[in-house]
Amino acid sequence: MGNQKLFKGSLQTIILKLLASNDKMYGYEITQKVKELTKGELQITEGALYPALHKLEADGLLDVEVAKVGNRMRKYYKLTESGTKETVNKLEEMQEFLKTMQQLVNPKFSLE
Amino acid sequence: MEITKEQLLQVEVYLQHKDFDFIDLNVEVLDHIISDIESLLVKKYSFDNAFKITILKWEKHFKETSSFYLGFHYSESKIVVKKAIKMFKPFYFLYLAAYILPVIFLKLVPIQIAIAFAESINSLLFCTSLVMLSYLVFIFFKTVNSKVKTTYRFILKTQYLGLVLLITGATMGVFRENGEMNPVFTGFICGGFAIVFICHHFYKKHIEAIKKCKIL
Repeated sequence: MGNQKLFKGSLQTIILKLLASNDKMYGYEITQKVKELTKGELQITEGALYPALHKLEADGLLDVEVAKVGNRMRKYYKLTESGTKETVNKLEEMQEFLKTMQQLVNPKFSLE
Repeated sequence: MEITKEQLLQVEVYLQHKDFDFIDLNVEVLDHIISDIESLLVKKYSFDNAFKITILKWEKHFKETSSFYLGFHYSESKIVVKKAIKMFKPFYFLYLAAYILPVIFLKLVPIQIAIAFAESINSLLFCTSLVMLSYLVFIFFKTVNSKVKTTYRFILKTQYLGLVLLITGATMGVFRENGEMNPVFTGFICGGFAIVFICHHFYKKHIEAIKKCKIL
């Protein structure tokens, strides 16, 4: 799990992307989904997840819905309209970043 | 596999024991802990073992910690402090800018105006500061007396000391006797106004969090 630090700056993008493809999700579900998608390579800690979710909510990118599930309350997060737009921007930024990193880490040599 | 009401109560008691009663975090932390336990119950762990394993995982999030941004003498559970930093960080830089920029500007470009005009502005700023101070005292008593804990209330608690800036700036006056603007006290006043704005913002958030909780 040595590469956890590399993911740190991408947490908001990861959350937004997951919510874009899953309509609404709750905290535990997000951690499990990330774990499942990355085959355990990336594990979001609760201490990092909730502050990030609350920041996104405060920025108006996420909306909250609370429902009773079994004998307890559950807080679901879903994207707002501006959250959907921001997801597109963030993903574009991420693609650009990955391209740049690819060029740095694995440059294609040419004879030109 | 869902936990029983008695088991749920056990988790709630654990959170109370950890002094974790922040209403803006409590619902989802409780739900997350229970989900963790339930995932272990599915793997055929007994409730007691599942609870112990989950507690071990969560213990680090409830450890008391402090932060440079909020002041090292204010501590809370790690998860609360982390959220507080995320919310407060932009305002920290606003506060710094409000204090430092006028000082730098006035050091570089000294401003002097007519003495009579300077005195009027000093009086006006003094009155404005008094109104703001009263508002802050109101927020202070409202949050201190409130039994409901939120992350925003914790942030507010860390800001009250900044009132010293506002009081000093207002009593000393922005203009010197010769009508020249004092960079340090102008910085104090601007920093003080920034604190009032910050406290107003987080007080509103505190009230909103309580309202949301009541709706639940």
